[in-house]
Amino acid sequence: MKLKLLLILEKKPATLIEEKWMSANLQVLQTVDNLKNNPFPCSISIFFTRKGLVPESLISEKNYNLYSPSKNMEDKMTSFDLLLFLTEFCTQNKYDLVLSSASGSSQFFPYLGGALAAKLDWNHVSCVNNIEYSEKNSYLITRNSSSGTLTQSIELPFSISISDPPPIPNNSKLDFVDPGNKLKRISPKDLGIDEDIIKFRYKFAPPVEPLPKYSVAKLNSVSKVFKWLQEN
Amino acid sequence: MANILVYIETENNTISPSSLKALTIGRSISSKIGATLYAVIPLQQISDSNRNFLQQIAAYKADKTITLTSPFLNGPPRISTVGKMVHEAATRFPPAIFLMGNTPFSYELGPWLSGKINGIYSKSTIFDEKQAGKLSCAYIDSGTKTTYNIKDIEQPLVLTIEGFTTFVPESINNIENISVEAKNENHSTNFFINKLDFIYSENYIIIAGSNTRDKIEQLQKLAKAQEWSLCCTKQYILHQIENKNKHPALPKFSSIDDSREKTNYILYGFTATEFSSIKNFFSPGSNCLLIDSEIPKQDLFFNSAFFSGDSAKLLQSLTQRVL
Repeated sequence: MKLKLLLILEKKPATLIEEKWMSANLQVLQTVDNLKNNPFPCSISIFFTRKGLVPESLISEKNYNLYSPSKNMEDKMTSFDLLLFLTEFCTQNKYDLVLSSASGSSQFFPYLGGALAAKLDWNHVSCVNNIEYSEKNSYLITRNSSSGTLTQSIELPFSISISDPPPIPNNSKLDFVDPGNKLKRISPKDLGIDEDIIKFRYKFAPPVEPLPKYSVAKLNSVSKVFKWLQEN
Repeated sequence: MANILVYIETENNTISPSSLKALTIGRSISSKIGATLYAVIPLQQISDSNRNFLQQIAAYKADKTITLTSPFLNGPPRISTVGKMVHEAATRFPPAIFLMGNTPFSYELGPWLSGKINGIYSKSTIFDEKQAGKLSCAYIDSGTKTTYNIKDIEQPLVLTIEGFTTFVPESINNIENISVEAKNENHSTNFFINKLDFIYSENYIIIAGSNTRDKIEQLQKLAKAQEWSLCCTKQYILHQIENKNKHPALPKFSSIDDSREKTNYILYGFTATEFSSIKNFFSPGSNCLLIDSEIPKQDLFFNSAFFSGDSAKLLQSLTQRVL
């Protein structure tokens, strides 16, 4: 058996420093490192969802297969188009495990893992903070629940959204079998999707407004802090 | 007539307060647009021990209850068990709006169900009756919001509602119960609860960031004196390990089981990066006091205040004074 793993990450906006980009996406990359005792050879692909740059640190990693939607699609795609695109991409490439982040800088990205699992008819767990190999093709995952920290066994194929992996990364390395590719752009045509559907939806995407900004008070004395605390 | 479905989550033989908030909002919206309000509750079987759930739902003025019964519904809710049955209910009674309380499972069920029914999912949703019945969905991660007019919804909305209910029921509705039974499927039953590590506090939650350093003892004294919760970020733990410092075993801040409408935080020694990694756990109505922290103003979608004076003196004063 070969484990086919797909990571869904956001590209780095040109204006954002790499360190900040890493804070949202590192948790997914770190979880790959935590797949300790996985006995299968592993092929890792990364799909980048938003407009921006692919960080140098990932391009220089030879074992990752990097994918992104074609450039003219990046601007037009709504969340539904992206979901359609990813569903086709996962079906055609027969991935076993999809890891995405439960946080992110775009509206839809934190929920992509769950929605994708629904489209693929897979099971899904969100806010996962640890994953490790158990037996056969099952893995143990740990996540928060209303009653406490829940550990549950999952069977592949599965979609997981990662939130805050354990603070100490495990250094065990996975056995890679495939050499990675450089970033490959995929158009809807490559996946057999009608491009006109995407153009049509783009025109009717719901409007988005910025969140209202609250006033940020500057308190320079202890008495002002007490006053602020009492007012709020 | 449109359907509004509210998912009712139970825990320790009680209905989660945030689910009751969702039910209250569901009632307001249903009355406004003339929709039928369904409460969807998963149960292993209807018995004397859980009959009070149905009475409580009736008291919160649901029109109908959909009970999802299955012998596999044991343990905490999961997509493989509850999710599939909720989807079956949503297929039989297609919702215009599907509401959930703010619980960890709602973050799992919401995106998954919206994928199944082609809906739009949003957490951090606030319903403002004064604004002509508009639903405002805030996205803290991207700093944006979308406003929906409840009378003009074309695509199903799947929403996680912030806060808990203050509505006190006075009478009980006559309620019709619809039973949806599970098909005989193999569900994974292999799960176990490890420990309780959530943070509950009536007042403030103090979060220690990576630049807290030698102030941790003062923060502990403050938390003890005021009976506030104290926790830390992942970066704080990493910093202490890297520097081989002894550090108190503080719980890591990762709580999403926060059903209060408004939460007060004191953030100490935060960097911009570590703030952005946890900000999605905050709700827009929160109050944040930032001490010795470097956070860009554009990241703050909360009522916030920066303290720029002597932090040691402030901590001492806060510890000594009764608030």
